[in-house]
Amino acid sequence: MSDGESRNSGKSSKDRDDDGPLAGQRLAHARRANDISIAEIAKELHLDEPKVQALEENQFEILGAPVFAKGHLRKYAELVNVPIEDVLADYYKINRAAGAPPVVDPRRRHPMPMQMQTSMAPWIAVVLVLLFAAAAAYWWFSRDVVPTVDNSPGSVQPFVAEETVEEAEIQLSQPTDTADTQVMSVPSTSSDAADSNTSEAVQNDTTDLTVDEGQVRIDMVFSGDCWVEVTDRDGRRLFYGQGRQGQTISRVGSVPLRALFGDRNNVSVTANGVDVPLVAESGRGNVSRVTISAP
Amino acid sequence: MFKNIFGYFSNDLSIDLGTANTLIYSRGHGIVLDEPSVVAIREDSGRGGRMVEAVGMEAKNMLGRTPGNITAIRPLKDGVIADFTVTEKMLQHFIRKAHGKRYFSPSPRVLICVPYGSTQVERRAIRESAEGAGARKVHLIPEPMAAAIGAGMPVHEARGSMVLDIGGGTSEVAVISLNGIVYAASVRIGGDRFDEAITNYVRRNYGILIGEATAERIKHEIGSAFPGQEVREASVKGRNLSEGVPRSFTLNSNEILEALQEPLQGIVGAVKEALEQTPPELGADVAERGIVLTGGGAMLRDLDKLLMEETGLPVVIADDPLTCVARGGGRVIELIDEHGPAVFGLE
Repeated sequence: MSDGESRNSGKSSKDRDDDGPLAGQRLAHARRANDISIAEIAKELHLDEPKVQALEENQFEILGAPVFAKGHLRKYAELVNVPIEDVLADYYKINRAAGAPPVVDPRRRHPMPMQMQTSMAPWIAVVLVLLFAAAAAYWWFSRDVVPTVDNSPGSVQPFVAEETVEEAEIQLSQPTDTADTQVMSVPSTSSDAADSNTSEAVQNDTTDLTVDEGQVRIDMVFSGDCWVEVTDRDGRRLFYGQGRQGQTISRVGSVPLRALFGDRNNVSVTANGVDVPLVAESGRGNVSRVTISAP
Repeated sequence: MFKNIFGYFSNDLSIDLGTANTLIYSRGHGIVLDEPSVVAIREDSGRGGRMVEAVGMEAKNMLGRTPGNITAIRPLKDGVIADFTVTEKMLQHFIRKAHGKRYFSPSPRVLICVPYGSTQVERRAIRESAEGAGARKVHLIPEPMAAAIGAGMPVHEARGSMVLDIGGGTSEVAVISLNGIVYAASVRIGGDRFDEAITNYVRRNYGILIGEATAERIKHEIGSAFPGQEVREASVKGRNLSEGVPRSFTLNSNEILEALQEPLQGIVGAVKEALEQTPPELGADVAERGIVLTGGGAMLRDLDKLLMEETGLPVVIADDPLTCVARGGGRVIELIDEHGPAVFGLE
């Protein structure tokens, strides 16, 4: 029996006096009117006589939880032909705050880790959604955009500059392999220091390159620092590093050659002696990509 | 992942997945669904498979009245799953219905009440079926525990409380103390067995075949578990087995009482067995307070009287016995966050 119910049961006697016979008292009146003894009722309900008396005096806490009190009231009402609904209405009137007993002992109520996890869960979901949105936005703005190429008839372009979507798929991790490519004396490396040395070593060394059929020679003259990556038809990296101001770097490779220039303003490019126009990629500053597709 | 995200927009549900009826209690909303556990399946050879034609009350109305290509079936038998796929579809339908119209599939945390006597395999089937229906987290609770909580019994006290839950497929009797089941037993006798007993009685004594729905109606109208002063009658129509034509006849409550003797004795036997097995201190508590009846079977007229006469103990019927299990499960799911699932012995 909950504390609240006990308190209500205690208050109920005054209410009863004010409102006339309620619940148990109503049943007791009906019992007496029908000339039935408490012993007979107790026998029918399989209860002790003191419990039946308690029921008649509305001392429901003696019977245990409300489910027992209401159950016995129903049966009692049926025995003495009192409408069950009236008796239960009386019961609820007397025990306004009487609800079901607690499921768990109130003394056991204490915060559990489960509670914290649950309260945090919506926030975790919101953070995940935001992260997902941020990742989607990053992908959208960082994707490669196909640059526009000046293909007007008046422009002199012996080497077709083709910027295709495939160019966006430049494999930066492609291993350097110079065996089949005629390159200058210093091999390309991926470290900055090595690139720096390489750039210095190849400076102005452009005379020993021989161009076979299906190949093209690319000369890059740097007026300032510029990041360069040049790959040949097979994806082999011919050059990968920083071009320094005043350097001239030349490479020979199988067409199509693909080249990426970090700052197109700091480099001029020729292929087999013919100027190659460097077009800026939209939304990427001075970055330029070109494909030299024919010797 | 999407289940978890959608889960925060779904209500926690307590499901009384019964053989006869499925009830769903939604946290904060009360009982939101009470439908028969029946699914009508259409065999569609054109599309090469089985399709769900109707679920719940609509399907129940089809029971015994379907054409050749439609089968109305009860996917649960004796409180456990008899047809996994159909149960999954039925749960999916009920969960969506319980949530109302939403823009996405609900993914609630679900507590399902299972018979105490169900095996691990049967429980696993129920769990997986609910997960397949979209539940993101599934807890299982023994039906008698949920019934006792739903009936408002003081399960947390260090005193014995005995509950008898009579469902459609099984009857569960348990003695509970300190939020735990001290003794419990499950017998595969329930409302369906009552219907079956009535059907058999009518066929044996009248030579007339009646359907499932008619037997259930007879049970509701004149079914009784204890001889009373008033004898009630009901008019029944069925097919005469010898003539092969429909015939009308009258049954009375004493005949139904006779028909129900066998299943009733099974339930009484389970209760007596429970009282024998209960430790003496708890048995004394039960003797003092009495037994509480829950479940649809508790609504059989004078069943409490029968049990009182047979056991000599006070027996009371809980308020709204049909929904006790679902309501009890609902109270538990409301308290899981606060106390953790271990307090109630959930799986």
